[in-house]
Amino acid sequence: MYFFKGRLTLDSLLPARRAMSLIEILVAMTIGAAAFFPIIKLFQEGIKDSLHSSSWTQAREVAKNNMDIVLALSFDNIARGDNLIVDKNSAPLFPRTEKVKGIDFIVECKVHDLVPLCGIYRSTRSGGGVTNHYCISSKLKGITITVKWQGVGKQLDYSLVTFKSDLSEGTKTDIWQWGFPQYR
Amino acid sequence: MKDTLNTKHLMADKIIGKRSGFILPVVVVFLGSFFTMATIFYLFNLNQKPIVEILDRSAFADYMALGMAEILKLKVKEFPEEFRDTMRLIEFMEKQNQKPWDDIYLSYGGSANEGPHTYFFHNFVVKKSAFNQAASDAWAGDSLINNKPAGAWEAHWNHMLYNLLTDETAQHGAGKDFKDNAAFKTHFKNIMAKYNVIVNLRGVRRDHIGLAQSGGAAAEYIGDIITFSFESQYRDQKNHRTNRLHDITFNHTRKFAK
Repeated sequence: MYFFKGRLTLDSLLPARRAMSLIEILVAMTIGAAAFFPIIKLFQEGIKDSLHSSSWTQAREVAKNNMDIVLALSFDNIARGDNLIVDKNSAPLFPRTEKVKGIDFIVECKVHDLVPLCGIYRSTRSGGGVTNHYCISSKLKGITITVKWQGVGKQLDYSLVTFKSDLSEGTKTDIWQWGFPQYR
Repeated sequence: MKDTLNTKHLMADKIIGKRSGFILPVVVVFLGSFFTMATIFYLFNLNQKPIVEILDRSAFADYMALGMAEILKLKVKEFPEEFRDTMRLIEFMEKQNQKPWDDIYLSYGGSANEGPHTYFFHNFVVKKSAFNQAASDAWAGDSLINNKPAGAWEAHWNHMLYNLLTDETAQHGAGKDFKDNAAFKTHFKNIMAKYNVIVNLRGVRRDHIGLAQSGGAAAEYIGDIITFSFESQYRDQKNHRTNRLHDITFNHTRKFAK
């Protein structure tokens, strides 16, 4: 019935309170509502990329998980190249997207076929020691897992690198001498 | 007196009471302060990821140590005789209270520390080699190389990649297939420059003897659990160097070729 008694006041809505016009309330609520969401979003994003950074922490875990998946594959199935590893149904494993807490983590995998060089000392040679250099082909791969996600205004990324050796029994046909022996 | 009491009663009623309108400004100021602090917190954190970055490097170091152990495993597997000869020397020297690993840390081709017990492992020690003296010294001394801060990249690049992952530009390399080594150089450089993690071999030991093995195998190290200890080094959020040890075991089962 207050609505029909002239000016609408806070008193009319909340009895025993000081007067505040409905217009003022609406303006304050509008400003508050408009300001609240961007600010809280900034706050959340700031947290996300900082001390308690869930996204960085999560990206690191995603990278570790995917690296372990690749390392668990047999050596021959770790296909050289960008995102060429496939599962048992020949479907590509990468790039893959893992959505965690509303963030899309895009995982990529790069594999290099590497040839390590090993300096070998052979004590059995006559006339003292000799250092031979041998290269080992097709038995070492460099694996890089990169996780990318959208941060505050820019795309962030985190990478892990490791190597995987073929430690199965085999012949030495993949080992070849590099350079000349160095007699000492 | 009575007036005073009445006044106090009225003031208290005005401040505490629901009629005062005092709560609303308090809430407004509180919320304003709250969001101001949140904004300042956000702006400060735009430029720093203090805890996160050290954890990033820590995980990166884990996998780098794991990877270097893989290369060393491959070398042991493919050259078991040389590994055996080297380990026999090292264990003999240790029994004599000598310190073979001190030589290995400091050895490189042509150095005074070079010896039969150093060849097999010293390629996995980044701190010193014929190829990385400037970088490793600068890294240790926080000085500059080419007017730039010493990075783990130079040390790793001039050592590990030169020795273990050389490419066709290396000496005597003509005509040989080094596959992706050259491409990996660039790729690895970019990543190492970003994380600035250095990984060194710090020790190798025979951890366990007693697995099923044929006669005489104990002296050959076949069937033993070999433990590689790597040390990683990187900067924490205050730019202080941090060291961590990574022990990685290897079941040495390779049969001799001969």
